[in-house]
Amino acid sequence: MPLLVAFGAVVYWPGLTTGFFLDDYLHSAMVHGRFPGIRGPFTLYDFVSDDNRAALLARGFLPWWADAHVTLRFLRPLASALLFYEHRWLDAWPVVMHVHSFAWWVAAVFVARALFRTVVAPRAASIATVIFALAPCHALPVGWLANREALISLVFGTVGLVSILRWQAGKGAWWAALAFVAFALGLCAGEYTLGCAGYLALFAWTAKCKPARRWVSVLTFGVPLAAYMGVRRALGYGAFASGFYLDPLHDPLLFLRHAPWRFACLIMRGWFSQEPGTWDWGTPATVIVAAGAFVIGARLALVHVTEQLEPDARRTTWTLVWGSILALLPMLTALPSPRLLGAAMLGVSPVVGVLLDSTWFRRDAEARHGAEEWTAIVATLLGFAHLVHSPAAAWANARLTRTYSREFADHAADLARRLAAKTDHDVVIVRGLDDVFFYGFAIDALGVEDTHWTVLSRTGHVLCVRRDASTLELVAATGLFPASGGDLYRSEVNRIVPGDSFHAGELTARVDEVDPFGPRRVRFHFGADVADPRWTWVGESRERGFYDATPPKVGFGAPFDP
Amino acid sequence: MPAPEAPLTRGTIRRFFGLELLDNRYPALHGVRVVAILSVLQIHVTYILAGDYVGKRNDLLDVAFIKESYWIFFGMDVFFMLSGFLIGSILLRSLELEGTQNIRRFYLRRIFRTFPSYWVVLTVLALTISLTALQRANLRLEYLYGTNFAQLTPQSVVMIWGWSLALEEQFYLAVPLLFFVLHRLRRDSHRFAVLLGLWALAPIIRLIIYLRGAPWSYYDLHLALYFRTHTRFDTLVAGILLVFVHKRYGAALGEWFKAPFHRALVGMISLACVWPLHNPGLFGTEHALLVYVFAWGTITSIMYFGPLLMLLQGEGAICRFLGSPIFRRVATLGYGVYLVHMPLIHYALLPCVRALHARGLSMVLLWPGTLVAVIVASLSIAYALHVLVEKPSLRVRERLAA
Repeated sequence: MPLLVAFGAVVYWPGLTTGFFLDDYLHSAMVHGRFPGIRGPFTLYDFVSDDNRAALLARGFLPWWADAHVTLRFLRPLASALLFYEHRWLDAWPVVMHVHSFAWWVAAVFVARALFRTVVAPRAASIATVIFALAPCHALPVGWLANREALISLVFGTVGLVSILRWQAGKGAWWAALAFVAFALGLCAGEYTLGCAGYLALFAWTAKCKPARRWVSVLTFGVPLAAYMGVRRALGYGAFASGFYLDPLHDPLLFLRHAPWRFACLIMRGWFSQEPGTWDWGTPATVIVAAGAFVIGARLALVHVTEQLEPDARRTTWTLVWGSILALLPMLTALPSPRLLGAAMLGVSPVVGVLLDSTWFRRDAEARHGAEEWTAIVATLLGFAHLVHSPAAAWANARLTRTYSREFADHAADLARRLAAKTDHDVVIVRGLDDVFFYGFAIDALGVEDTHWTVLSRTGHVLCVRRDASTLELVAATGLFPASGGDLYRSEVNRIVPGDSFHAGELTARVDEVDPFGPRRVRFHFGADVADPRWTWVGESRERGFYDATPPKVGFGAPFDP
Repeated sequence: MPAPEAPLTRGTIRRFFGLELLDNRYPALHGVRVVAILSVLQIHVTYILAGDYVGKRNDLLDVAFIKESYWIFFGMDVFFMLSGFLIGSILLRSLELEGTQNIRRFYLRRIFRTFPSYWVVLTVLALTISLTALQRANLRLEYLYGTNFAQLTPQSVVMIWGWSLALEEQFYLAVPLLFFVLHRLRRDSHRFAVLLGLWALAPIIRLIIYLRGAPWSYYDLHLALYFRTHTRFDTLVAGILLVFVHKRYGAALGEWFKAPFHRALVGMISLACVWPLHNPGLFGTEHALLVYVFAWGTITSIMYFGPLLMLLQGEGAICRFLGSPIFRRVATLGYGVYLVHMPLIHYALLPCVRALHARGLSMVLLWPGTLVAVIVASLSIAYALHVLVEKPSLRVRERLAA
């Protein structure tokens, strides 16, 4: 274990040396009173709600296309409280906060190891621990402070599962009590604990114990869950009218429509360490087909391996397989990302561990044909995926997050310097990247206060045509924002159609043309001449940062590149 | 009474139409060669359908699909390794049996095996397409197997894909000298050291070119490093190294490979090599071009070395599958397929694809359809070439060699 922790420190080192990233700036602003709306220790994940939506829109922290009812509120009081006090006392030392996140990763590895040693043979458990510890799903929670709740919920969820297995094995009642407390704390930390529900249900179903113990097992999760859902509903928590988060209770049809693709992406990432983009050849169907083929291939090998196991071990292995699949279901509510896979890895890791252990270290030499050879190939592929590719991908992901974080900080500092020289802090971003709505909070933290933002588009190339002194028309090849690609501020249910108008402060946006990717031609009317010196016109690029994007003369057009 | 004549006639016809199959000491390598051929065919289908061959990218194919299709191009490096291996094993056997390389016989075999079909296809193309001034100027270079040192654009040379054949032929000129040196060495460890040193020399040359010419665009770096013999000989040397390792340690490795974990270990090393090839920006996009310096030869050699060693042991279902008789037949026609597939796709299949696409047929069907069509058509023409050109030249070769 010390060696594994040391190796983990190397893999996640870029994460430990990352500064603030996206939501971290919001949290800092909330704690230091710079955020529209009052936030306390338990409400740092209350981003957009009825109390501050209008204020966010007025200052341009929400885009003009944001749904009038968009709500982004997550009930994570425990994770929120930890961050609240850290931002209050340690805001200047993000590295200390990252070390705290890393400590949760160490805890997660320890409890996962305990779980694996309970459910599979020792060598398979060791392999599983390595796989789990170095999985890319931990890279973002270690490197992104705002996502630490994924690790905290995972730790408590796993403690709950270990406790419940001991309870089902006939140990004392305090194990059930511990499971109850752990699941309750896990849910208070974040929704990621829901991923453990499938394992718990399957453990209860397949356990060889008295029915009473099974029911108690279910209740240790069921009671906190019911309480959590009740509080969540009563206080109006949840994500609504967003394309990034889909609420199955609020928009069941939309959720079901996106579920197969999201599920396939998570399967590819969790089981096969495959980047779904690799298999997205112009249509989401290709990812689903590829995931199906991978699953069939792996299943053949797993059937062959489990046939040679003792009945109990066989049942446990398949329980873990199904548990890992059920663990993905709550995660389908968000756009697929490795950070959603923590709970699923509690099942994936030991199953892969069993498969590698049985295939690589068997004593009897089998004839190399048919199922044996196929199983050996699958074991090699999975061994590579989880023991080589995953750790390297985890390091690469952590490094990429750090790069983005540094670029963001540099770009923010550059823009802050420009704005500091001006009396008015009105910024118009002709075209921006996906991080564009967080700059306001980062620049506020740099001492440039009362900024006002107008983001016209979040896309690639745009053509800007000036129709008159105060009117601009923007044309993009594939939508001015990713309306069909999981936009955070607008669900595709509430479609924009030609002729729709939006008002944000002085700005009026009228949509003239829409294609399947979203509005592609929009006319923006500003309250005054766009040449008014109070406005700072910029475009955003990953490489160049903020560049001048002066509007063209009346009757002329100008392209703006990413 | 014509009956006695009949079997003789049938035999003659059968001999005329039958295939002069490749040597079968390493059956699995035929399957590997077929896989490599398929990888090259599929990339060239994409290359031509996407419009990149003529330098005008169209929107027939999805960009992500094109990217995935292109990176499977490392099939070409398998060809180089197999060539190195087969040439190496021929010369080594000759040295062991006769104590001499018999250079005359070696070159006769090479010339009569590869030159006639190449010249026939080149001549037919030169006569049937309207040549640009540059193509006309470079034609002599192409006939002399110097394509890889010409400006490599479809407007400059007739058979742009002849660069790999040229590279191999140029390497063959140096191989007897290499074997002369290796034969003079008394210890295997020295032979391995020489081969490893030679193998490591190519990436050093690539690195020097890279460092001296920086900053590079991908296109310029590709032209400077990918096609030239002095920058790409490492895969061929790796093939010769494979011969020596197999010869020296084959039996011990056979035992070692019986353990599933050992096979997995070798497999994982190869897969680890696939990764930077697939994602050269792995260590940061700013280092991607440097990754290419090592990807084009060094990483591919390591990637193929282990699996080829395993296949040479002749055990396992994959080995048996790759050693199927059908692959031997297809591999026999592989050279011809390589010679004719590009003009087939460009001149015959591309217009059909465009017409069918204009009628609303999806590229999801048209791309695999084109691939199947080019396989069938190029195999047919390659068969004709084999019967009409290769076999007669092989007979001449045998007479001369005797």
